[in-house]
Amino acid sequence: MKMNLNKKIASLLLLGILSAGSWSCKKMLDVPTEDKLDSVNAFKTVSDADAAVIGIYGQFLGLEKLYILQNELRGDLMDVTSKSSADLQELSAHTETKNNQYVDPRPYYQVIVNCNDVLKNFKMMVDDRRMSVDDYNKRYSDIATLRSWIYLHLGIQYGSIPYITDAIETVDDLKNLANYPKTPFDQLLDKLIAFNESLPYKEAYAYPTGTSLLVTIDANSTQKLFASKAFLLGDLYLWKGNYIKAAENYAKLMNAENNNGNDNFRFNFYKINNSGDPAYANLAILFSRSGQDPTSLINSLDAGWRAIFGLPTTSSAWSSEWFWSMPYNTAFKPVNPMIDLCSPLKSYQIKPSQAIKDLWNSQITYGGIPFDPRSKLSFNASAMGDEITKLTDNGGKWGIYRAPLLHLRFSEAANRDGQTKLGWALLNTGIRNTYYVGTFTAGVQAPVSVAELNTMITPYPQTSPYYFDARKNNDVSGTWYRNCGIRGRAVVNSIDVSYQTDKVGLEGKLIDEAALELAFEGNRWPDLVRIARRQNNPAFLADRIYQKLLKAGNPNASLTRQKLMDPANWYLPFDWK
Amino acid sequence: MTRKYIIYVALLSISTVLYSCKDNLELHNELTNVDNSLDLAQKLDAQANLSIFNGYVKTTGYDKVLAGAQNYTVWAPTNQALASLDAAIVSDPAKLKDFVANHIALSTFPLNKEGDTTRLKLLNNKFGVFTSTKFEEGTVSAAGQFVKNGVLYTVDQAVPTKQNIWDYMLSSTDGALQKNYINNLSITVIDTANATVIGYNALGNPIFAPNPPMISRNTYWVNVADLRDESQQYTYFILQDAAFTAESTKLSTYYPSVNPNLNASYFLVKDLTIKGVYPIEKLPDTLISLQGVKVPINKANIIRSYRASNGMVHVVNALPFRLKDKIPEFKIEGEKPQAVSAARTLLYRTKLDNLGKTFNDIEVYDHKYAEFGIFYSKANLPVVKYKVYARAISGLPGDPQVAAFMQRYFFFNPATVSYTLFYTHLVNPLTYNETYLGEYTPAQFGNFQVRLTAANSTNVNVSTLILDYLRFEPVLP
Repeated sequence: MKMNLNKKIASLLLLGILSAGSWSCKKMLDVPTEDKLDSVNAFKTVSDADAAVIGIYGQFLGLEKLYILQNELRGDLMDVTSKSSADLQELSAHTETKNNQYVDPRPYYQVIVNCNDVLKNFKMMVDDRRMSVDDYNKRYSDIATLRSWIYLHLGIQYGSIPYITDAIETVDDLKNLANYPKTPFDQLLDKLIAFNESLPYKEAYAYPTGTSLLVTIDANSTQKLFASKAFLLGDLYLWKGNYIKAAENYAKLMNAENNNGNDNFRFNFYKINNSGDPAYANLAILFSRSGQDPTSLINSLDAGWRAIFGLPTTSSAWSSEWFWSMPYNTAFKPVNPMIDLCSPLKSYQIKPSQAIKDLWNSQITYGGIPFDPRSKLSFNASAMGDEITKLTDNGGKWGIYRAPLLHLRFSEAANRDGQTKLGWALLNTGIRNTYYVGTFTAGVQAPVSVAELNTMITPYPQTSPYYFDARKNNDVSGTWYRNCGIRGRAVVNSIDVSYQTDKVGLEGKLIDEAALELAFEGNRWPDLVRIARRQNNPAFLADRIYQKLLKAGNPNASLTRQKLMDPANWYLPFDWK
Repeated sequence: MTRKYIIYVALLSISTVLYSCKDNLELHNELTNVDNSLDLAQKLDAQANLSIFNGYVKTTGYDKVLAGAQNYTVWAPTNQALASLDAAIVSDPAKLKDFVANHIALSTFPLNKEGDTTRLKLLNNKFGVFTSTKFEEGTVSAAGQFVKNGVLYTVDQAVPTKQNIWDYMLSSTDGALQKNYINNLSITVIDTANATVIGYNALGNPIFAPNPPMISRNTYWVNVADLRDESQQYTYFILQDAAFTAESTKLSTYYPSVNPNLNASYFLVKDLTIKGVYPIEKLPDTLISLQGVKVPINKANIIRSYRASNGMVHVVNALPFRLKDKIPEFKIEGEKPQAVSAARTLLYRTKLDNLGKTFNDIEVYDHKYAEFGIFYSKANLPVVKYKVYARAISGLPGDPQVAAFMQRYFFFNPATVSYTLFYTHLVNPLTYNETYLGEYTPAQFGNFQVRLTAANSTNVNVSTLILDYLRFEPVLP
């Protein structure tokens, strides 16, 4: 009896400690596999499959915080504040250890495990004729793409990782994750490329019009909620170094609306333009009085460059910019975690680094203003502190892929494929302004012959991914005539024309532009790793991190630089406490 | 079953406790010698070497306060310290009460182990400085004794109530001229505290009954600094009469106003107050006055100093201000207009000059308004000859004005009550240097008004106005 009681007490004590422990780390193992997806009964009809897709994306949205912090805080554009937690300070200074909560890769694997499970069930559904092959193709390809996207990110952050595609039945298997055989990053890229090329549905949009998953719900359109297959394939090829294939995939999205009967879509969608059409393309840097007067900069959630982040997903102008973005709604969970991280009125863990502020302030606009207006529209400076706003405008969205990123990645691929001038054009003033050779009347392009007009077309065959028709006169409007370049849309002066023939130089400028345009959106660390890796030049990455730490007054800046000169130290440990 | 449940709950709560820990802040402020059985009045009673102070506390009635429910901090001087106390304080009940109140603060203040200086409000509304070792000039012995309604410290010196700067100035016999001048700087205003409010106007401001009670306010308190304010800390200079006269005379030709609020003496005394406390040993050779003017310090000129409750007072026999600090060069910035002659788009530009330096200016372009004007003003312009320069840069990147154009500067002449043309400026593009416009001497002291006027044309590129600044450089002896 006595023995028994002791045992009971011991087991209860254990239970108590365990339960207390599980409260304190709720996020780590709280995988809702059992109650949502595990049962075969959950997959009876295509509506169940749709529910599974939406469920996966709902869970995926929870990865934003980790993803942004890993990709931006480890980079040089985002910095910690005086209020930041020790874990974030470590992540920012590259001194993180396995005890750091932002090192644990398991949150990613929880979504992957669920993807695997859903994919297995989709396969069973189509085998049992519970779902049509057509419905299956789209849903399977969608979730498979999402999984591959997570794997690409894991590979970038951790180097070698377990590539698991079979369904794991229970959560316990995740505990042994560290014991799985690991796939090195380069092999992972091969596997992911082979897998994604083999998917049965690879159109520009995950679901075509008429699919049950395309709806407007709670004032949000679901069209751009889903992973972009061509974008991911482009990224995979770009990392792999297969530039023509990367360019082909990116070009597929750039030209996705070229055959749309509605000119507003055809000329504006994904073209990066400053046509000023309030409904379809009002996303350029705008001034209410004059481009000379910075006090008249349009700083609005509905118009101008900041509207890229502020407009609702149902707006056409918003849709002309984005390929993949998931909105938050203040009425529902999950709450946008960035509000708490960015706001000086809340926990205020992150802010823009001095390095990105200096980079913005080194730009000059067409109107002679000595700073990049995008800075004022990306963060808000106040006495309380600098608040990053682009992640939280109008409640915020997790925006992953948008047009300037596409153009920059395409330019990077084209540049490496020998088409440096094309990359320069998309970066600076657009296709037409870069390629036109001919007559000007009163400073305006006025071709007097077909030959002059045709210089507005890039000099490639129509089948080439580098072919863009930007012709414009009274008779012809080429699909790309409105393209004004990324810097053109932001009204900042072009970089020197000598970069039209400087491959490595332009590559650096493309990455600089990604900082100016896409700061804090979660691309920085991968950009630095990709270029440093490709150029076999660790200093490309190490120098930038060094500058961030130096400007922030970190005494270990040069030590960190030294550490990052070894590519082995770029990766987070695939290990946790 | 129930019993099991209780065990379970108990174990759970134990495990929760195991996870909690002490906060560093708590440790830092932890008190170790609290005696919760006594209040401050009883604690004082029990201290033999504080019996004199305790006696004063009782005669002034503060023993009831210290037995009350609120928390207090008491710095009690020892009997030895009070032996030498001024008899005038002990004999005057009002002074004694004030003296006791000068040693008590509301709320409990632990001895600051970090060594920070805190300024605490005392019960007589003065402020006392409390550091890790000192309360005002007295040394705090050992740690405080904490009781249930506060803390008691022992200090080795009595801390008599100090006068504030204003009261000291009025009671001082040094510098009668300065004292009388400042004391007479007054305006009469409605005594809002005692006037009857009969309604509110559209802006929400009160309307008072006719013939409201009036009260006199000293303008020095408003225009320079309220030297009575116990919560602030200033350093104030009193000039002896000869010095006051000399310095006023020096300024008299430049500030020839008959209004005492704007005459030469005012422009002297406005720079006699400095923010912060500067005891004589900490005085640098130059201070900056509240109004931003350099104050030259020569310690040898200081006759005496007084530590006031809200700062320092130094009496000096000379304080030779430099004329160029008192009659400074000034600029009228183009981007800070006071008015314009018509509603047009004004461009407040931020540009880079040829040296890569950022500057702000104003441009009005293609406004289609003949003789469009922008108005500027500068208050209290001293009467002196100025050399006037202008900087206007056109043709920078983004600027459509690349052709040369003409603009004019008119200065207001109070004698003729009209604007008089001062200079016609031909602005050539990319002229980064200042243009010398000429010499100007205002006819009288007061408001100075400028009108920047466009060409008599409505044409684009002709009627443009651009101004970075006008610079006025006084020509001084």
